[in-house]
Amino acid sequence: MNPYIVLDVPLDAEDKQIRRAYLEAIKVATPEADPRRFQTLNKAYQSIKDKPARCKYSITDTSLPGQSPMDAVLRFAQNHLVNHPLPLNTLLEHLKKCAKS
Amino acid sequence: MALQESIPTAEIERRAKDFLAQGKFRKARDEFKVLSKLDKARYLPFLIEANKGLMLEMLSKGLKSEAEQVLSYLKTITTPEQWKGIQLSFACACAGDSDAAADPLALLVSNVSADASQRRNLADKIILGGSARLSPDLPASEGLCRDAMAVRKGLEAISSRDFTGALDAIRPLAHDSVFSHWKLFIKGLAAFHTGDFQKANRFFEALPPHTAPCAGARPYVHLGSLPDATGGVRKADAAQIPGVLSLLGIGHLKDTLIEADGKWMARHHAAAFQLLKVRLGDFPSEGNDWKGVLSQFCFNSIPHMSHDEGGRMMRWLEDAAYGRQARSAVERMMFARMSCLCWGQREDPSETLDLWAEFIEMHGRIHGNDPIWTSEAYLWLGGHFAEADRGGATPFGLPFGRRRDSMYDAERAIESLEKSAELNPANLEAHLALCGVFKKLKRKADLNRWRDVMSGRFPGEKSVLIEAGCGCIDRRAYVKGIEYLERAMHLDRLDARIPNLLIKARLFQARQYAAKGNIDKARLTMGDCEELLIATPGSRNYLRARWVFHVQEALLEADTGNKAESQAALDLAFQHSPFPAAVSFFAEANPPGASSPKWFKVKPEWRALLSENFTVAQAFVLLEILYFLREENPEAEALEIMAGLLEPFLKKLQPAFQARADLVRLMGLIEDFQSLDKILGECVSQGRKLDPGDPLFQIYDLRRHDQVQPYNVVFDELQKMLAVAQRRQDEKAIRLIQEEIQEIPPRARHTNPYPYPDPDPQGVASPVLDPSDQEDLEDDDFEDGPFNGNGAKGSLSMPPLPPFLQGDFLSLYFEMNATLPAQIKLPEEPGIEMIVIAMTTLGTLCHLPDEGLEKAAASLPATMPAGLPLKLVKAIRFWRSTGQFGHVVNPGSTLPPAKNGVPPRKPLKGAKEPPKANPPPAADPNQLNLF
Repeated sequence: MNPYIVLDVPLDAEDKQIRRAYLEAIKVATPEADPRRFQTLNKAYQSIKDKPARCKYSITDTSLPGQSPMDAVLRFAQNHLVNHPLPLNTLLEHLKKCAKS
Repeated sequence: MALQESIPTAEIERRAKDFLAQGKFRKARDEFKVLSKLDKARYLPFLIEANKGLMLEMLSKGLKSEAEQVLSYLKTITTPEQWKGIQLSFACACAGDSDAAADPLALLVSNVSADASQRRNLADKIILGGSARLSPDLPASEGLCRDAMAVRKGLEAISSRDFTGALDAIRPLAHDSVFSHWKLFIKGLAAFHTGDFQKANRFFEALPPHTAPCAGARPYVHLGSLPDATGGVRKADAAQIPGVLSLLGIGHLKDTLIEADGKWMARHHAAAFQLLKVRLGDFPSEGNDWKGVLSQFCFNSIPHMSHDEGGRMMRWLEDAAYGRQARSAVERMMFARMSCLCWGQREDPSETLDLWAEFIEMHGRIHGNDPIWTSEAYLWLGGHFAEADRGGATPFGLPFGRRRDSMYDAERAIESLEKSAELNPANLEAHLALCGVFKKLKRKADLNRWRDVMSGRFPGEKSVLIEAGCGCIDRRAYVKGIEYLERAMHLDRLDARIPNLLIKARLFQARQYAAKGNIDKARLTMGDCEELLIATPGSRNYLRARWVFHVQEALLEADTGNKAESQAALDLAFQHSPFPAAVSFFAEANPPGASSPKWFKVKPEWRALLSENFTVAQAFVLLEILYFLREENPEAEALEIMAGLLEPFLKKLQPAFQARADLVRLMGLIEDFQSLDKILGECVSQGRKLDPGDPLFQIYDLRRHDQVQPYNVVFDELQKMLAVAQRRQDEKAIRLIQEEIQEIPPRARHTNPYPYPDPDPQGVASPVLDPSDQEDLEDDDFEDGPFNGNGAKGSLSMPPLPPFLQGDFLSLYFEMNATLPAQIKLPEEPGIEMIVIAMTTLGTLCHLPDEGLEKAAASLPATMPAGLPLKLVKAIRFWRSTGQFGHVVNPGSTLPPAKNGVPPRKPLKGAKEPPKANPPPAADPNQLNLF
């Protein structure tokens, strides 16, 4: 998965911002509590931690963000929603819609 | 008797319920009053509900006093909690709020006959729709209001990422609260947003069914259950997709995404891409959003596709990117990048250069010029050009077991890396890469110049210090070299390369001193090596083992004529060595820096010792010594000679190598020594006897076969082997097979062994997509070409391999050539490459009608041997006119079917034998026995 999305940082984020996001994320997903997520976060951080790494990532990345277009979107949704809870009204709307269907 | 009574009761109950359902509350009340006397527990809730309905009905008709009478009656039959709800309803109705009486909160409070599920639904309505009465000030609903407010607070806290606050807010909710399922939902959300999907799913899955939180949690459960990226292909749960998409706010794109996904999974990649491009707008994009991810997926998938599919997709994208549809710089940038990353080595490296320049230009246009980024881009390019040349001179490539040491494009590699270093002088990787290129090209002057530049720019960098140290050793400037290496060691004491290099430098320096007659300084320098020696007796580091050091000492002393010291050192060497023959073997193997003192005798001599007793364990030690020294100095001829001298002993010992592990170890050690090729062959045979399906011995067998095979045949064979090796988890076999696969040019990995990728350079087949065609676009559209049917739009795919090329085409060449008149004869003494080129070109041209031959021949690459295309055209016309070799020169003709589908190979008539590797120089024991 795209490391910027995993760490929830913008594409133009600087080293400090990326490091802060990484430290913040691994505070919750410690290696003991959630080794899988910790690994994902670590890998994401390593690939964009400094300018040369970010350049290299943008030049040579051939990683697949999913197994199919839909899978890629779903994985994006997973990462995105983890970091971005729905606003209250949107959440209530979503629940209403789901309750109706 | 009881039965007689139960019949009227049932009848009364049915009637009473009907009245209640029809809103005839008075009648219902009368009936339930009678029934309550019979069974209070059962009918009291209905009686309360009927009375409540009656009360509200009276209020709606303005009969407040009558309603109050009913209310007073209700007080006598309800519990305090129910009474609160009824009071609330009464108050709402009195206040003229007609809806409020039907407010979910009021209903929840007063609806005493509702079951748990109905009550939860009312609770859901309170949370989702809000309640007119949702105020903790109302005493009648205090408990419920408090709970509802807690849930709302919890949800608000989740939305603002305050997960602790959310959990605190819902903590007071009791287990038996009608809102308790919301507590589960909020806990699940908190876990989900902290990334703990397992925990989240545990909460979500415990939610009672048919409730709003349960339905709303399903997309979250789906997302939380997505397997790892490595978890294999997983079909998305179609029912949950709309929910997930609506969470992202793109529920309206559900149909488009599902359709594109379907097309992609059906391998209509271009059609899926086109669909997304047309319907989404601003696609592909680089954003940090779902569209960016989708774009990343579409482009990054290409190197993961099969060669054919990837090639088709690239061709289509090329048309899409540069044709009429080329609208976005992002798309052009993504295409150029992926085209270079996954295409491999093109016949013309300048194509790669142009595409990469396009990538850099587009990136600059989008993101602005950034020298650091551009430096990294040129670093990649330099690395690409510096890769080993994998291009085959013939479509059949290089025979197995051979490697090309030349680079894909050395000059361009140097240019790119120099540019990279120039753009960002802090780019250490670019500097080291350039250093590697100069080393590989053996351009010593450039290498030394560059090492100096590096040491100036990166004075405190370990890798640079090591490089500088190596450079000094190469230049015999050992003092300076040792200084660099000591600085490097100071930076990293754990890097094993540094002590190895350091001890090597000190040995050379000691020898240099000794050669100048300065034995004291030489001994001092040797003494400095002591600190680097490995004390472990079984150490396989044949530079730093103690006994090896003493051998070096003995050789040094012997060189300077100090026989006594030499003998003393030698005694120590024997004392620490694994077995005596190892000492004399090592001494004779001419270790780094040692001269060859012919007068120097090491006794007892290793061959004599081995004749008496030679074990498998000893054989491995001696071979490891050779292997180690070869690693240190790949070009040392003495090592090949030593291997030759060892060969007869190994041959005698051969029957002792029976176990697979021994055979594998032996093969690994001897494979680079030509003198031990026979032993290697016997190991392979032995291994194949043990297990014919063992992929490791199969790949060794293939590598040893020095015969020309078409790439695609080899590729299929390797793929099968790889599958077996992966099943058996044989890491070594996997590595070797993958190395061989890497040797095959990507474009030749499937069914296209032709050297000419596009016989239609005019672009007749290039699709220019019309928007009206977009809906029906399928990848198959791009498979048609003038050769295989109707000449419809689409890039060309190559014609199938003609049957005559699957047989003994070398003999066929001479046979066919013999029939040609002198003026159009093909080369009569061709090399094998010429035959292959001629026959494959023939295979390409023979599919064309007479009138298209000249044009096609003219479009063949300039690298074709001069005059050959024209001669082939004339020859085809001649054979067609005379009716000879119809199966070759007429399209669609086939050879008679051969056994197992492959015509048997006949011995070649007159064809030159494929060149064989030079045999190792014969070892002359008399000349080489230095002792």
